[in-house]
Amino acid sequence: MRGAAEPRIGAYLALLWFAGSRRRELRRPLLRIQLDRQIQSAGIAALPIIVILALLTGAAVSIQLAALIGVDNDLTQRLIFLGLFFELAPLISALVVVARSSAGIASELAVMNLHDEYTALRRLGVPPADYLLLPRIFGLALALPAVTACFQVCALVGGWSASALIDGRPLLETARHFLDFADPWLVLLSLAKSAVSGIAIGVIACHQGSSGEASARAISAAAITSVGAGLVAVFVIDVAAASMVWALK
Amino acid sequence: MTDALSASIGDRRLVLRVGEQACLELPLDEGGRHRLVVEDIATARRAVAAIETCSGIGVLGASGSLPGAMTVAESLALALRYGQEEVDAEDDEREMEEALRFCGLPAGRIAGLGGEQPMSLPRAERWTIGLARWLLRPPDLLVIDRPFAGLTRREAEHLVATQAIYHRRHPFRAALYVDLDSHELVELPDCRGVTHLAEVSCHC
Repeated sequence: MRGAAEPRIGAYLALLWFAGSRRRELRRPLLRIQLDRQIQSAGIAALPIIVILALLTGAAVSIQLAALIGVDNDLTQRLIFLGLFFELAPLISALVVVARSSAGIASELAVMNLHDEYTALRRLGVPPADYLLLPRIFGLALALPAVTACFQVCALVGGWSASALIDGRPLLETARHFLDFADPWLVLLSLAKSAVSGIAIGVIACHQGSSGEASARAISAAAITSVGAGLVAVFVIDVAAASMVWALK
Repeated sequence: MTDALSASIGDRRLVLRVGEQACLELPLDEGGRHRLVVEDIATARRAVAAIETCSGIGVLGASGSLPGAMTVAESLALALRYGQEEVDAEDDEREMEEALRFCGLPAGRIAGLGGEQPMSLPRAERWTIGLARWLLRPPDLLVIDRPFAGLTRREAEHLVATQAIYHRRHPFRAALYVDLDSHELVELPDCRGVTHLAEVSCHC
């Protein structure tokens, strides 16, 4: 197991290095169009499901906390901020993006590999790695923080609404109470964590989609592996960010 | 013997080698058609791949070398505009329409072509679109990879006639047909030289 994982992590890092060193290519108008498409498909198209999940998650977390420790409690507000806003919002957003986009990107690239489309692109005078991989990796890096921010706002609205209904307090007062505990640095850190998760999901999906053998079986294998490895990467980044916050405090 | 194919360009000549032995020498500034006959598909692929490593080579595959995942308009936009910092889409579209008309496609057909997927088009039409692209940005050497596979004699003759447009427009640009060795090869008018790779390999 260890023997198989090590070269794969090396390949992910090599692709990450490649993407970082070629990022200026995204200035080209045709690559910018591809980047916009990726942001649209990974970010904007995911918003309806994100809004629904966020409202429900916010309400569920608030109701559970109210049942356990009461609504009018500093600890409740702190837990909503740290648990829901900082921890759950980036995590659930990343999981939604892994489920929606990671498999899509990997299987799309694997199908292109099967049909020798990388060669066709090269023959058009287009570097396939620049054209196919850069917009996907950077598209996810930009889309995921935006999706996370949307999740955070909607989750808070859901949570405040549930608290206000249970406690009978005005919504604005609940919000003000929450904002007393909000730490702007943690907000920024949660978005940065999402950007890193987006890059990791993109790198893994692009590598799995473009590096397998050209066969029908490789398409499903690429999708399955990219989702599995993407989930692991998201949780590893999450734990790393939580450890960083703990160490800083 | 044919498994060690390599190619290089020097003094405006393309040299294809089998091992150390030069088996094809092709001047790049004199225009005209040349033909390389190979014994099987694997050798054809290796020969094209070896030639493709040189700069200034354009490859036109049997189905036009258009990516199937994008529309004809997207493929052509990529081919024509990828390297440009600023894009004049209208100018490029006008140029492309003119090239397609030049290749014999009727104006009514050209108008609806942009939104179609290459895989939904007849093979001859895909090939013509691929050729039109090279008509606008001619390479030093246009390698035409196994163009006659699966075509009727009439279709093959039409293809040769369409390709002649390329030489009329770019008289000093050469084209190399890579063909499989069959009992009756399609005739290439004005062909400047035929190289049978298997025979060269035997001599090696």
